[in-house]
Amino acid sequence: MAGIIQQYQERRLVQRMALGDRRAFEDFVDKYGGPVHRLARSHARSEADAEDLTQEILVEISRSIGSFRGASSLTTWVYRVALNHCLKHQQRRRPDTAPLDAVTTAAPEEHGPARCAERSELGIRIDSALAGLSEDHRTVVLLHEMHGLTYAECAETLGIPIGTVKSRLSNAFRRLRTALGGYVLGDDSDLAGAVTETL
Amino acid sequence: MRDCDRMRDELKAYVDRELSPIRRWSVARHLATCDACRAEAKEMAQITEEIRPDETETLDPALRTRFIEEVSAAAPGPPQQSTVRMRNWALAGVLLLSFGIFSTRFMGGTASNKLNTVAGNVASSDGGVEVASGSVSAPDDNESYTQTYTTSPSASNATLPPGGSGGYPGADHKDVVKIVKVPVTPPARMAAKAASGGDDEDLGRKVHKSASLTLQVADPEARSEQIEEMVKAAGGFMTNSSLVTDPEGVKTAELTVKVPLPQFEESLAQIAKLGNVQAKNVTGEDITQKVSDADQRANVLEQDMAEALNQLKKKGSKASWDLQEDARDLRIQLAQSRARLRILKSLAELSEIDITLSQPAKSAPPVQTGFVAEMGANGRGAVKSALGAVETLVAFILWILAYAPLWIPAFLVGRWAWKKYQKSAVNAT
Repeated sequence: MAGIIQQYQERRLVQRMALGDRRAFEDFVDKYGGPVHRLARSHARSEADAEDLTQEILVEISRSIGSFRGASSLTTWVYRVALNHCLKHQQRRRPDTAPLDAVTTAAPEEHGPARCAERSELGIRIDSALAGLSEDHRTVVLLHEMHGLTYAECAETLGIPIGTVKSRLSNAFRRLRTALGGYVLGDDSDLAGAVTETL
Repeated sequence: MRDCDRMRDELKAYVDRELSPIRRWSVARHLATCDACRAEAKEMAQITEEIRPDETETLDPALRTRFIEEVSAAAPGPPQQSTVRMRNWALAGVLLLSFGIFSTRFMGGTASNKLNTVAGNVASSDGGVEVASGSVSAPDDNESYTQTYTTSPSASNATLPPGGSGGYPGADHKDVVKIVKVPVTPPARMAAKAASGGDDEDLGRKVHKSASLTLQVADPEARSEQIEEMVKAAGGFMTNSSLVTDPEGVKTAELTVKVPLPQFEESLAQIAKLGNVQAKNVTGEDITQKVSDADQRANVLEQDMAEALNQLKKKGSKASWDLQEDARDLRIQLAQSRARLRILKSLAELSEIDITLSQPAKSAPPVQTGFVAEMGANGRGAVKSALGAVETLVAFILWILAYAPLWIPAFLVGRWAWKKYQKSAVNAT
């Protein structure tokens, strides 16, 4: 039922956008602006670059909203468009530049001491390990973990089978675990207990 | 170990709760027995927790405003009307404009005048209330107009617009409804007529007039006879006559008469004088074009017929069956066309009037009010209901008597069986 309502709301939003309703654009930016900006940050070399990239993506989506036929959910369609745009942007970019997230890992001081203090050492190591993943693995991790897409949505966005999503995630996490070198569990008994409860 | 290899790809999906219930149960069973896989799953869960952002990222307000502005500016805007649709609208506009121009030009001396005349008549009627004003339309190629007047007997002392023949004496009118429809010959048709040398003008205007009239009269039978005499005197005749008496004794007569066109207005006025006019409807249809078309068609068919007869005469006995068939079809079409022409001409020569003569409804008995009247009514109701109860009782008795041959033997048999049973019971004791 919730899916049907969401589908209806998405369709209404698309119709309003196609009619040029400004409120619809506001709703759209409120809903997808943050996630798209986060995706752009992971493919941009600086915050300004990420903002420009986000703007390009949103403009591109608003221009081509008429081509959305509702075959997939609006969310996966937006992610597909955004991801394609990000990849193109990455190809245009100089090969020696690294994405913003990787830069933050390599040079955390750019974001100031406050942010560094907030982030645990484990987090910094995970960022570093993520930067070492292949593009395919990294993208799947990004969509599923950072953006909360389900396996099915990831598969739809990337145009690959769900089994592939599952295996890519599994491989990516195995590599992350290897990269972290047994740093993960440590003495964090609370976390271990939580995981055991989950299991 | 083999199980571990098989489960390894499932561990992440297990942590993410993306497995089916059966697979989830299977992995859980494995994890309960395998320390290595359980440790790996725990690490995956920890990494997952660490990677996932704590909260949903929201845009900075300034950035949000900037994005909204850019997106709104770049949006294609409301969908444009398709060129076909726009073209259709433009075409419709041009046609409407053309129609308006030609209507003004060609209606000037005919329809507009009629409209003005009738409207003037209605406006000049004392106390008459115009409910619907005149309208101009063109349903087909023929010019026609309709005047409808309906009146209420309980009206004030307004008089009907008679259309040039004077008022209707004794008629009380409250509501006056007037509809004037004057279709105009299309410009293309007019141009064609002009090009052909104006042959239609030689024919004169052929107008078929018809009217319906509803009158309230004291004696419909006598008035029917009177109308028949009037119509005969005018050179017309009666085509239909019927008289109906309803259960309350109210008589209604329906007549259809035909009168020569020149006597139409006068006959209508004379008939209207015979009683109170309840409703009147006058319709005029210009059948000039129809007559002309039928005439032309008959001429063409005659020429074709002559040609076909020529061919038949030349070929004699060698004439093919198809040629003979064609000639036969032509003869039929020619006969039909001539008949249609005759009907149309007779329509133009004779006008038709439908007349309904009805008696006024008999007044209902006065209703008495007051205590005595109510008591009387209640008493009558009580007596009526008591009579009804007696009637029901009598019906019940009659029913019992009528079915006596059935229930009396059944009762006796039952009684005998009961006594026998009691007797056997006593013997047994």
